Amino acid sequence: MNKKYKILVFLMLLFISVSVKAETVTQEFIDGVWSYHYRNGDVWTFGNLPYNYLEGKLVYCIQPDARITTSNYYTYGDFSLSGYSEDVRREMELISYYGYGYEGHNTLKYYMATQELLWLFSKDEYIKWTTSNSRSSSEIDISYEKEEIKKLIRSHDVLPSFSNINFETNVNDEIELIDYNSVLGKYDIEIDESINYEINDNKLILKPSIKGEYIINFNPKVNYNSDTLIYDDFSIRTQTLASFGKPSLNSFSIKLIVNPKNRIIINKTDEDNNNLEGVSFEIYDKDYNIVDNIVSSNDKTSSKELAKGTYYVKETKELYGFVKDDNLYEINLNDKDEELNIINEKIKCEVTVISMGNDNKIDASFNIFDRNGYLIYSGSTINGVLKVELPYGDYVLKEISVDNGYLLNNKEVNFTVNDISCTSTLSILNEEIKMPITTSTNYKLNYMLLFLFNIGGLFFVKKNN
Amino acid sequence: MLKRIIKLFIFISSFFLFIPTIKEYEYKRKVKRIIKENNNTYLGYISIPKFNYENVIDNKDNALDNNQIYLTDFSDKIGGNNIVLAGHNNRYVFNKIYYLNVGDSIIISDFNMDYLYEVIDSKYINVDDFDSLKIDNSLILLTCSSDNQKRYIVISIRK
Repeated sequence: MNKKYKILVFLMLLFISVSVKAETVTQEFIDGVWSYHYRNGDVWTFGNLPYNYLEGKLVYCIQPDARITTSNYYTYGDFSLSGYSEDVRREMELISYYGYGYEGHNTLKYYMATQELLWLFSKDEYIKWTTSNSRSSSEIDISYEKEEIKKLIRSHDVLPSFSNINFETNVNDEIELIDYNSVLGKYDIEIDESINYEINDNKLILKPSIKGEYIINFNPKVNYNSDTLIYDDFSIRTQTLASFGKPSLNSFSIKLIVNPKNRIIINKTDEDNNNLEGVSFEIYDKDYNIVDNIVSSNDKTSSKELAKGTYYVKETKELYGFVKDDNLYEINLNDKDEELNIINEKIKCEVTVISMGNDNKIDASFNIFDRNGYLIYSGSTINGVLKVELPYGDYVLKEISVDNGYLLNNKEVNFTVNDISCTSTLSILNEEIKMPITTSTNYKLNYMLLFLFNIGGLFFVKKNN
Repeated sequence: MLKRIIKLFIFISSFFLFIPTIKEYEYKRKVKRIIKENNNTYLGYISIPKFNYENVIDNKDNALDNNQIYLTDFSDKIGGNNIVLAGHNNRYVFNKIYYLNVGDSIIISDFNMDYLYEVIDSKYINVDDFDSLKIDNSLILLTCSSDNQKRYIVISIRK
């Protein structure tokens, strides 16, 4: 730092009221650790490495070409007073943070490495560490420590591998984001409350419950922020010291698009629009993987919630008495439930009703009722034969009229139509009606003849008397 | 001698002339007793006020032979829609129905409830003419013609 600059800074401090406080600096020199500072290819200066403390706090030398000439130092929050830029300040903060005092870095060599890396922002080109003030004494190798610190610094600004990427998932689906950079732990997550999340090492598991587009912010944990201070007494030439706050960390965000989930609603009915309960379906995704099995109820039947996409529905088990639907139905689920109407046809069997007289076919009319007593068919025979197509079930056949001359058969005939008795014949016998024989027995003439005979007899007897 | 034989014949045959009347009287008494006792042996009875005639109704095969009114097997029950009653054409049963006229009343009963009918028609039908017997809300009395070749029916409608 040249003299003009220091004078300028001093004058500025005179005119600008800056609140500073005098603090006492102490030095604790380390035996057997000497630093040689090279500039222009040669030793510029050298000295015994001290631990510098300001009111007990370890501070670093950031001006190797000056010595501490006073015990009273003033604290400044304006890092520019050191003559270094803000970029350098951040670099120094990183060195300080990952250097001495960082987890596992509490050795002297890490202190040396930290100090060296800070010095290299000055005009020093190279630092050589020796065990004494003799240039030919043993050199202390701290290359490992320096590299460790640099490695950590390089990873400081590395974001999680999934940063600044848009992700897409579905409501209530879990999405797992893996941070292959293993830096996820540095961040706090700012996330919508409708999204459940869990952090498991380098995995972030998200489970959104409401559709929408969400921005998830990843903010550095608060302990990464604190002040960087410099210490000096600009009224005299003395070494500038510094203590560093924790380096800032960049925030980032990701975008999560949560697609809604919807259902496939199946209306399973027969030809008469009656709901059919117990029909099984499989739902496949576009790759024909089974995603759901459902069984129809006596109302609309819904699949589970499915992400938008193309699905296929197929009937896998029909109801007894119904023709299986072998169609593969394609459904495109988008932003709403999709309904699918599937009608099952009833298996129908031909039932033959024959109306018989004593020994011949006669015509009659019949009603057929289902098991609940509802009239489902009414018809008449032709030449004594009636063919009716009926679905599986239990029925009652009742004759309602018959040809003249035959008695109506009042017996109700219960019959069942199923796969075993699909083609059945029912014979209904009708007795022939016989007109009652109501003989006429009129004895009037007989009695009249007898009466006349008696009268004639009486005349005959009277005449012969 | 011949005169004596004729006198004896006249005397004896005069008794025969009264036998049917006596038998009819006895039968009427029997019917009245049955109706009065109401022992559920029969399905019901018929009453024709015009002739002060009553007789029991049954559907047993021997009902006709017993000079009862026969509820035909193609008839509805008493109180039903189309009742057809048959009876022999004799003095105990239905020989008087030839004298029923339009407007005359006929009553049938199942011992619990009486049903009143009014005569609207009468005619001869062939023995296979069952269509003539199918009339709604009717009571049809059926008997043989005097030559037994046809059937005589009296059609009455429920009042």
